[in-house]
Amino acid sequence: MSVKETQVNILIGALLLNGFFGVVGFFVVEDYFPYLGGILFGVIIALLNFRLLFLTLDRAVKMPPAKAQAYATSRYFIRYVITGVVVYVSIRAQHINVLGTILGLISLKLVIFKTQLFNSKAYFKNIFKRKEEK
Amino acid sequence: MENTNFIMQFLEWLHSFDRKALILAASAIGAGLAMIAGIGPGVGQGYAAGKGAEAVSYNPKSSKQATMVMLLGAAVAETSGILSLVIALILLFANPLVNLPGAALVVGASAIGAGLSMIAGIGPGIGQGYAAGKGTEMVGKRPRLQSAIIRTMFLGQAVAQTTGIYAMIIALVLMFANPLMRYL
Repeated sequence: MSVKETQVNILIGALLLNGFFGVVGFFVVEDYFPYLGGILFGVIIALLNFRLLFLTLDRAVKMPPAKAQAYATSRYFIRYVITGVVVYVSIRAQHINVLGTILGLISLKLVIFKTQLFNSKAYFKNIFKRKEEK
Repeated sequence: MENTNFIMQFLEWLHSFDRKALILAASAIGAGLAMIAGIGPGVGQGYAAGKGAEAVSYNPKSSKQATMVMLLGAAVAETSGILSLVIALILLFANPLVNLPGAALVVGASAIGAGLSMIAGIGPGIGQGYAAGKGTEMVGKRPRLQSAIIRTMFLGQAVAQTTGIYAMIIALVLMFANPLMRYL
């Protein structure tokens, strides 16, 4: 799978998972629209940060290792500040629910685990299979 | 004779402040401490990027695959940084401890404790970055084994995240459902 395909898969996965969170929230959360706004805000920033991470690493791999390390670390702190501003804004703004934003931000990691780790039943069956059974 | 027990003197000095001021000061320390966890993902991602650059220089043909593994690994490594940021910002802008009844000292110490517990986020950050780096390196060397390497890497990363989540649970318990208040 190419890098672009992976990114598209994760984008689709993130939208689906957050759509699910949105539907569940409709029945669970009292003040629904701020929650939905939070999810939307969180997932958009998470996806943009993911794209920024790709652009950083795409450049980093073409650098000498020591320089790449410093470059990636410095860029990480920029993304960290962006995430900080986003969480700050959602805590401050009345029309955005901070829990929704956090859910949106974290959902991308869940999608990565789902698409890359929990995508093969056979692998997990083999983990629990005893070697004597062969 | 003047009291030479400095701990007592310190505690008396603390009690000379207004209750709210004491809790807010402790929250400020807690927020600062929580942010220390931001070091972890930074180091981890830097390591992963360094290994990615190494992998590409060994085997330039595998550049795309190495970048993909590094991208996914580094994205996961960021999680504990986000969690610590959330705790720090809650302590600063949506502090649930300010209006909590009970001894100011315990409430203040809980705020510091919540921040301190988030320092645990350094571990998963560095560990996941290390896993991402090694995964990238090996995909660079053996691109054919990519899917097995990715899966093993993510399994390790998912396990490594556990302690960071434990730390966040403790921080949230200290802030929103403090069990210590029952003993006062």
